[in-house]
Amino acid sequence: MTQAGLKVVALEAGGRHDGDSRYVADEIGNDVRNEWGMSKTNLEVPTLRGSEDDTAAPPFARMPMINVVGGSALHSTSVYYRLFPWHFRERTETIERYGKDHLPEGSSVQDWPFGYDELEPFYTKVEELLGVSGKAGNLNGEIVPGGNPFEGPRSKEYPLPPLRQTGFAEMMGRAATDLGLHPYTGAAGIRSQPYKGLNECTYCGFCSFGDCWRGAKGVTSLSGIPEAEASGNLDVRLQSRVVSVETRADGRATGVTYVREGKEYFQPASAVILSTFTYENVRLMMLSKNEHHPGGIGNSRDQLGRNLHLHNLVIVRGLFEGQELNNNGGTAAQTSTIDDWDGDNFDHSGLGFIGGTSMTAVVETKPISLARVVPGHVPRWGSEWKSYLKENGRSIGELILQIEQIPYTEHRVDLDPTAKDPYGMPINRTTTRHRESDYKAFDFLTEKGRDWLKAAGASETWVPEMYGMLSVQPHCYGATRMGEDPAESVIDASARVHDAPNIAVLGSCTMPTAGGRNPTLTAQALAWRTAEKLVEDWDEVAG
Amino acid sequence: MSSPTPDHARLITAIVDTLVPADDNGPGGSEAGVDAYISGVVRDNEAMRGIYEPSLDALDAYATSSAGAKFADLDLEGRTKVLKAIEAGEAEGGFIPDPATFFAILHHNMLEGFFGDPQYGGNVDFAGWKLVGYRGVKLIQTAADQAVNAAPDRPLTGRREALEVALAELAKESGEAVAAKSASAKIPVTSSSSASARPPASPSVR
Repeated sequence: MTQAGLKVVALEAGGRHDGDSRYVADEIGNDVRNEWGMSKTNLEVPTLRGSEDDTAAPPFARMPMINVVGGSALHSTSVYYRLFPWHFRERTETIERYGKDHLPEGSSVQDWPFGYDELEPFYTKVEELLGVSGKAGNLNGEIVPGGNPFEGPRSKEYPLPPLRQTGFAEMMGRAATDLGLHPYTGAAGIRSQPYKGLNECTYCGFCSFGDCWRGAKGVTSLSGIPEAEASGNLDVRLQSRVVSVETRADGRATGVTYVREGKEYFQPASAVILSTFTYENVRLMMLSKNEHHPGGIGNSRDQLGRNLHLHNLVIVRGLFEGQELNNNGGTAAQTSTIDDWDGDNFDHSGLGFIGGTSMTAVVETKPISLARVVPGHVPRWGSEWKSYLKENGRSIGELILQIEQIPYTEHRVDLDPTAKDPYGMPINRTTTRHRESDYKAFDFLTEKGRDWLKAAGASETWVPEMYGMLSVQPHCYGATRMGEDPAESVIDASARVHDAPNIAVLGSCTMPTAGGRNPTLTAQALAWRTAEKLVEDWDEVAG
Repeated sequence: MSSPTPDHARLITAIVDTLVPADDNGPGGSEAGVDAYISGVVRDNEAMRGIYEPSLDALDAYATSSAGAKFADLDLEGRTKVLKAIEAGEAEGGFIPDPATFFAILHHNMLEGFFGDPQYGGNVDFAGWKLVGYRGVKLIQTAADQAVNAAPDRPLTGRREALEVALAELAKESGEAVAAKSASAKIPVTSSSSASARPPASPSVR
C-alpha cells in the first residue's frame, strides 16, 4: 500500500523488538509465563464455555500471543505450509465424493469464495519476501522428487533450500517411506541460509514461544515493515491500543479511537484494516457497536464471531528404548512431514469426519515439557517417575498432529458479559466443544501416528487424554469468515466487511477452513492479497 | 508479613522432597532448589500467593486430620498418601480453587523448579536436566549435535552462558564486526516486566 503511495498509520499496542536477548532460550519466561505478552494479551485471556447454556469460566491456559511490531510471528514455531486446493473447496469436494450426508451433522463448513489458484501468487510473494525454506513437490503441475507430492501447483521453487533434518527426522522419514507414505522436509519461515542481508538459523531449539537470537525467522518487522517505513508512507505508533472503530451513517469507517499513555486520540482514515488476530479483531468489532452498527461491525446478520474452528493440537509419543534421539535442540520446523493423512489425500468413506492433519516428526523438546511426557501408566511424581525419566528421558520421540476442526455456527467468540480487562473493557468469551467428528478424527489419525512411530522402532506409543485444547490458541480460525453470502459470512471475497466496505480484516479469522497445517503463511498471503485489492479498488473503498 | 512464612517455607520444602524424593537417581527437590523456586513464585506473584497461602494451610490441616501430624512431620509414605489424596481431589478443606487444581498448579511449579533454567533459582547443579537427559542450551547446533545415538558430549550450559558462548563463537568466526555486536548484547538477570520471575540465587551459572 505504501508502494502505491497510500499513507498508512500503524497502531501497535506493544513496542518494537529492542534487540535484547530477554526472550531467547527461556522456557520459563516464554512457554510458562509468556512474559512477552505481559503488556496486553496476558490481561485478556478469553473465558471458555462448552455451549450457550453454560457460564464461561477462565481457562487454565496461557495466552499464546504477544504485542510487538511484527506480531506473534516473532515467537512462532514458523512452520510455513500452504493449504491444498482441496481446502478451498472443502464443502463441494466432500459432497461430490461422499455425498451430503458425509458432512458432520450441524456443521457449517463452506467453500472459500475463491480457489487456490487465486492465492498462489501471494503465497509466492510472501515466501520470497521472508525467505521461506523448503523444497517444491509440485512445480507448475509437475511432481518434483524430494518435495511434498500432495501440494498444489507452485509457480516457483522456494527461495531457500529446506532446513537441515535432524537424525530423528531422517529416521522417521525412512520409516515413512517403508510404510509407503510420502515424507518431506517441512517448509519453514526460518532462513536456512543468509538471505537479503538477514541471518540464517543455527538450530538452537527455542523457536516456539521464544525470540530468535539470530533474527533468522522470516518476520515482517525485518522484511516489509522497514521498507515501508523507509518510503515515508508508513507511520508506526507504538504503545497505542485501539479501542474502537468509528463509523458514519452509511456504515463506513471514519477512523479509529486509540489510547496512548492514558490519553484518547482519534485517527481519521479513508479505510481501516483490522489486523489484531482472531480474538482482538472480534472484540474490537463488537466493542465498536454504535447506532450504525447496533450489534457491532459486521454483525448485522449475527455472523460476527461465529463459525469458529481450531486445531486439535495433539502430540503422539513413542518410546525408542535405549536410543538417544537427541531431540532437545533444533527447531520444530526441521521435520519429516507427511501429508498422506491431511485434506482428502485418503478415502474418508465411513470415517465420520472430513479433513485430517499434517503429521510432523519434530524436535525442539524443551526440558520442562520433556518431563511432562510420561505415558499414562507411569506416575507423574515420586521415585518411580524419576526412575522412568532417568531411563527413558532421551528416548522419547514426538509427532505433532494439528487435526482440522470444522466450523459450527454455535462455536463462537463474543464478549463475556462480566469479565473485564484491567481497563474495564469486556474480554472475549469462547463457546466451543468437541463434536463426534473430532473424536473420530482423533482416534483414526492418532492411530496412524502410532503406526508411523512403531515403524521407526517405537516399542510403546501413547497419546494425551485430551482431544486438543479448546481455550486460547494460536491456530484459531473463522469468527470473521470470508464468503459471498452475507447471511453466512462477515467479510466478502476481498476481505472487506459486508456492511462496512472500507473496513478490511486480516488473519486466520478470515479463513473458512483451516486445513491440518499451520496458519501463518496463508494468513500472510491473504493479507497481501487484501492490500492489493484495497489499492485496486481505492476510489470505491475511500469513497 | 513476608510470604511465604517460615512455616509455609518449611512445608514447601517437605512437599518438594515428597514429589521429588532423594534416591539412587539423584537429589531430592530441596537439594535441587525446587522449594526455593516455588517460594519465589509465592513471594513474587500475587495471584499465586492467593492460591498457595490458603491451600498450604488446608494441606497441613488435612494432614493433621487424616494422618495425625503436620505434613512435614510425616514420613515419606505418609506424605505421599496425603499428596495422592489431594491430587485425586479426595482431600477436604479450603484448597483454592479445589484440591485437584491446586495440586496441578503445584505440580506445574515443581516441574518448572526442577527442570527450568537455573537462572530462575531451581535446577541447582542441573539436577533436573541430568535426570531427564537434557543436554543443556546450545544455540549453535551442528548436524553431529543432532545425530541419533552419536552426539558428542558437551558441558551442561544454561541460557545465559549459552548465549555468551554462541556470541563468542560467532565473533571468532567473523571477527571484529560481530564482536562489537556481542558487546552490546544485553543479557538481563530477570525481566523487569515480570511479576513472577525470581532473581537468580547466584548470577553465575555453573
